[in-house]
Amino acid sequence: MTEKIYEGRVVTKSVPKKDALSLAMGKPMYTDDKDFQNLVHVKMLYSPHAHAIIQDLDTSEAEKLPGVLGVLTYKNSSQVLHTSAGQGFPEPSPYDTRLFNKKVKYVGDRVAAVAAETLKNAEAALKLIQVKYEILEPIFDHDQALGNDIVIHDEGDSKYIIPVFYDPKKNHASHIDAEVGDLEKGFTEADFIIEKTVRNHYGQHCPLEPHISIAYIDNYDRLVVRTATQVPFHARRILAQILEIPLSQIRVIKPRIGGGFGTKQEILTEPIVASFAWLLKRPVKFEFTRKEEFISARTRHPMTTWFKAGVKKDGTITAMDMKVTSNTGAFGSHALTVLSNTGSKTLPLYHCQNIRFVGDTVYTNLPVGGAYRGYGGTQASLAMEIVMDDLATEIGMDPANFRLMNHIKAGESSPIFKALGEGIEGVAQTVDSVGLTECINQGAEAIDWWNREKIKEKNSTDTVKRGFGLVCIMQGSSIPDIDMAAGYCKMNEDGTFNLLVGATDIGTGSDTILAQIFAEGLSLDASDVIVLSSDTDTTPFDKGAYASSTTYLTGQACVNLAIKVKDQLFDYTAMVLNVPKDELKIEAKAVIHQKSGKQMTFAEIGTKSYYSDYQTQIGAVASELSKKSPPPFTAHYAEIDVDIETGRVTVLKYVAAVDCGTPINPKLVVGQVEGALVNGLCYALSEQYIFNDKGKMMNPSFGNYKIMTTIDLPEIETIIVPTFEPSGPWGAKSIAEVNISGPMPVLSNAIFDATGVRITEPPYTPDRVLKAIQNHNK
Amino acid sequence: MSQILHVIINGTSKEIPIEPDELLLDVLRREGYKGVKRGCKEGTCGTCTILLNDKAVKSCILLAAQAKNCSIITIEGIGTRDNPHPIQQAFVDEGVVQCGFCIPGMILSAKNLLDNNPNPTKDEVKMALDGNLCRCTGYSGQIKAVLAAAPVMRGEK
Amino acid sequence: MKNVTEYKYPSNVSQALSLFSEQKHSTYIAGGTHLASGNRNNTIRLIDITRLGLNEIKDGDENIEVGATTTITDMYNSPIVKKVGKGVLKKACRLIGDTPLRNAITLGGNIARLYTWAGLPVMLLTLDAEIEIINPLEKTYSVEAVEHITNGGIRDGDIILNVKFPQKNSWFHAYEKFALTTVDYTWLTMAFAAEVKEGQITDARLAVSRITKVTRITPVEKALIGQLVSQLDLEKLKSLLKSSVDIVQDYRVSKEYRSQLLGVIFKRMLQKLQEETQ
Ligand SMILES: Cc1cc2nc3c(=O)[nH]c(=O)nc-3n(C[C@@H](O)[C@H](O)[C@H](O)COP(=O)(O)OP(=O)(O)OC[C@H]3O[C@@H](n4cnc5c(N)ncnc54)[C@H](O)[C@@H]3O)c2cc1C
Ligand code: FES
Ligand code: FES
Repeated sequence: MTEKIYEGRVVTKSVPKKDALSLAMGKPMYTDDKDFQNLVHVKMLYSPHAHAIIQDLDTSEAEKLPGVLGVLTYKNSSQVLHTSAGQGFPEPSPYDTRLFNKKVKYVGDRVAAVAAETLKNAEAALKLIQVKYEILEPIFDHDQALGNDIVIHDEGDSKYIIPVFYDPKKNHASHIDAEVGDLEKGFTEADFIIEKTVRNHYGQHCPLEPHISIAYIDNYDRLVVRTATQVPFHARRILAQILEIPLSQIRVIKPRIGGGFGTKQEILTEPIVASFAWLLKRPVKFEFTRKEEFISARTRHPMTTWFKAGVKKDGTITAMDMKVTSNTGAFGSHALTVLSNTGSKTLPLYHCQNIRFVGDTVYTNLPVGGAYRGYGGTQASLAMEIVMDDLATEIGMDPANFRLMNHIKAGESSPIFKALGEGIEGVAQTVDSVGLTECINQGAEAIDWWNREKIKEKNSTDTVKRGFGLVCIMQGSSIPDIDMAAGYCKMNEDGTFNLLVGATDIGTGSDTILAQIFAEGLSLDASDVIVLSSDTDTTPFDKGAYASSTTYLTGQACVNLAIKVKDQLFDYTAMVLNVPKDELKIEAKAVIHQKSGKQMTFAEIGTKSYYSDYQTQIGAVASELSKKSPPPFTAHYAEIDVDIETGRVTVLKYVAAVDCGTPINPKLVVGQVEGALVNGLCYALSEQYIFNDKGKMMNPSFGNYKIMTTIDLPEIETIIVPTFEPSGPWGAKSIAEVNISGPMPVLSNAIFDATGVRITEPPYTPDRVLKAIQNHNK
Repeated sequence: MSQILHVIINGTSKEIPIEPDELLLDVLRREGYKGVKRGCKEGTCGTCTILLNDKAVKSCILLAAQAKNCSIITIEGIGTRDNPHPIQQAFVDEGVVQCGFCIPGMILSAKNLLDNNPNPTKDEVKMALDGNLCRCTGYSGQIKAVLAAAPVMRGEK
Repeated sequence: MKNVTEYKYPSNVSQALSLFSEQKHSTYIAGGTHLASGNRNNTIRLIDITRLGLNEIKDGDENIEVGATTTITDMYNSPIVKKVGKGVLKKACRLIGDTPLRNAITLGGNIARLYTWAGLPVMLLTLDAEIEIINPLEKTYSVEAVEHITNGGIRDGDIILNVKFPQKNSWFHAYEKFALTTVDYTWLTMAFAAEVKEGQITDARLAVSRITKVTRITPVEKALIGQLVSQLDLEKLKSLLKSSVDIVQDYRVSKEYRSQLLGVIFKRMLQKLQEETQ
């Protein structure tokens, strides 16, 4: 299966990340690192109420304050209905958002924005804005929201622009159901049935660089937005929509980005700075504080997931039934697509022909959900992997053997691929690369899985219990038949190439990966490829950094580019050297005609094509639309201690064995794996939104929203299991998201192994774990 | 009422007009040291870490006035493209610069450690980096990079 | 809203005191970690006390004297501080904030205002520390830890000069900070010290903070005195402790949980005492 069609000169090598040294030297590369003269500063006033109508809004005192340049509210700003979700067009998220609303729907909803000469001026002005609210009863519990008397979007004009279910009068932001096979028959055939309800919690992406945008008017009177975004092209489109100005008048520049993880797939700060810049004709900056990042950016959709599965004594899974209620908060950003991914990124993982998925997304008066690494897969994996463990326990099979037996194998398909797409029907596919058996086996060895009973016995005491857990996770690579990515390249006279991509390197290293993929196709070094990403004026379209698609999809566009350019190089050399094209090949940065011993180095081709012989620009544009979404796979193992007197869970060792197809750059692969899984560990163990009874987040700071630091880190081992994905660039699949979904279920499984107590409601903070243990012992 | 702050930044003596309640972070960035990052402004993320009289501190919870007559080292002051600091080089070699936003602070915390403790244990490295959040890398690689830089700084490699 | 408009650099203590006397809206600044981020109330003048030479650590026969502007890092690294309470003070320093914070936070700043999350006030109590203070009339006086705590910390205008920690090395010492992550703000800080002679507890100190305002738990101390270490009734002592502490609100975690935690952590300290006395 691992037929290698690549040479591996560049691909599979850990070449240095293109921007690493510059970033390590602290070069001014991020949005805020460029100084602007006459910069205007923006501060936002947020709703202190979870649900209220603005009865009276008086900004006159604020406007009179020296230094204040303007105040935007629902009274004087664009009232275009849109979605802040930066997705392809037509967006699969409801148009339920305006820049400012008369009705505020959560603590953190925008009320007014002040532009002023200094931040201090703007802050002072906020205090002078008089708002009178008519406070409405809020609704917080997403299990109670559907059809509740309290209606959040009662304005009556919110809508989807694609034909899907939507019933805002019932707080119903999306609904999906899909059924394949015969569920009833499946459950009848089962010897055992397990049913679990799990609930995941709010979490935030916490990019170290908060959202920030700077807008200015250029010398052609066009609007330029320099912004920390994952989706420059969608940002441009949505800005044109909100501001009601021609798209051609807008340029979006993405400099280096300090992390995104999904929250910068959202158009939040851009329309504010753009509105003010358009009005004031001055550069305008709006940067979220850390607090704003927590209360007003995006979060992971909390969900209640009910999952029921049946199994025969021999381990055959006969039926799977999943029901999900997703809480999208006050706005429906990614409401539909995260929901569909809860099913489509989990249910195909194990053999089963009888499957049902029913999902509902509801509005509540809490912070807004959005895209977050894992994108629904994280939520549903919790239910899926807990139930898989329980099924294995029920039939007395080792959880590793149970998964080895049941996981999807190469050449197989799942009916779910067709039944569940991105909110609409999906695309049927077989999976052609599955390294999961190897992942499970190698991971087991690394954690000493088969000796675990001995290790547990040796290390457990009266108060501290050792436990082991295992999970398997899948994700996808791109959104098939929907997302397109393109690249553009040109040859320079020294034989190097510029590669211009719309793909958005937000720290992931995609500039480097794409350079490697392109270089491999032309036998170049990665350092011969100069990458620029991304600028809507100069780089071709790319959907942006989401859906685990950059390496797989944009990567394939770069392979296509290399093929086109290779052809041009052969044409050109054949012409200049007067030799048959089909006898040419590329070696050591030269086009060679072996028979005659003639050759042209790339530098010669570059120079001659510019200045002397048959002058022409060698270069190409190429794009790719994916036809499938091959899943990357991973097996996660954890060894933990549970202190049954304090409830403290300590992770001792964590192993992730991953199949991402061809690892284009192994060190960057490891970085993606470990970054995602540590993020997942923090989410499982210590990250949480603590709300008061008025729906206000009490802990919007790193001081009180806890992320691990180095000192809390377990020993981590990453194992790369290379496979070859025939549809991917040089055999590659994605890796960015899949590993974030392991820790939450694996720790539940390990806690169960250690204590016999099944915890289904993370985070596993000491107080919650202790309570679960005590309830269990009652 | 502003005052003049005398400091030595990256070896260069400077007289900087400041307000007495201005944060050191804001002053450094205004002076062009953009490698000093602002990730939280509440002392919890570490992206604004600098060396103040050779000690790693968070410049967002210090007033600029506190630095009077002190020496400050920012990330801009420890290496060049041709001659990067061994820790910068190790971070590049280990592939642990992802978005990069935490990196200047991380590297300066590491420098503070290695300048005082040329041969640290893994636990000592973990402790030295415990004030610098990184959301991208999961830390392990960065710890490895610091351990890899140590022998280079000792002149052994 | 008033703003700080002056920042002063006295070079000796009496200059610092007279700068304070001149302007009543003054605040002394040491590490600045609490003040820089805006917690300054009506302060007009900040008086920097880090250049007064108050950062010496002095070794004495019985007492170790730590200057008020000594940073937590310098305390942590000091071989002299390590001698206090068999290393317990060093351990407490280790558990304050994170490395760059410890490089800035000073001993004086950590104990002056009795922030409920601060790590060292309980240490003052179980180590019977003495705090040397000077007031604006340039009168130097000493207060015992208990008094400092009962006073609610330092009086406006006074400067902490140093803290004298008895070594108390013949005592048993324990210190615990329980929080969600290592650098998190504490859920419960507890310090315990006991003097044991021939298997019998002859004196004891138990102090907690964050779970309640920093305080010694005298009923438990009293109950311990006279007990044989090997025959401690752990369950009874646990309940006594729980009933002696009036747990304050903490939106992060329930009273019920913290009450149990209080018991477990104290029980473990007693068990450690039993192990060590054997
Ligand atoms: C993010 C963060 C996390 C933290 N985590 C912890 C933690 O886990 N544990 C912990 O213990 N602390 C922690 N702290 C430190 C916190 O307790 C205080 O900020 C710190 O103790 C103040 O010390 P400082 O030297 O910076 O004092 P400053 O901020 O300079 O001053 C604080 C107060 O003390 C007064 N003061 C200072 N020195 C003297 C003196 N010699 N005489 C009289 N008055 C004086 C000042 O006038 C002021 O009122 C944390 C701080 C931050 C910012
Ligand atoms: S910006 Fe200073 S610690 Fe975050
Ligand atoms: S590399 Fe992005 S936060 Fe560390």
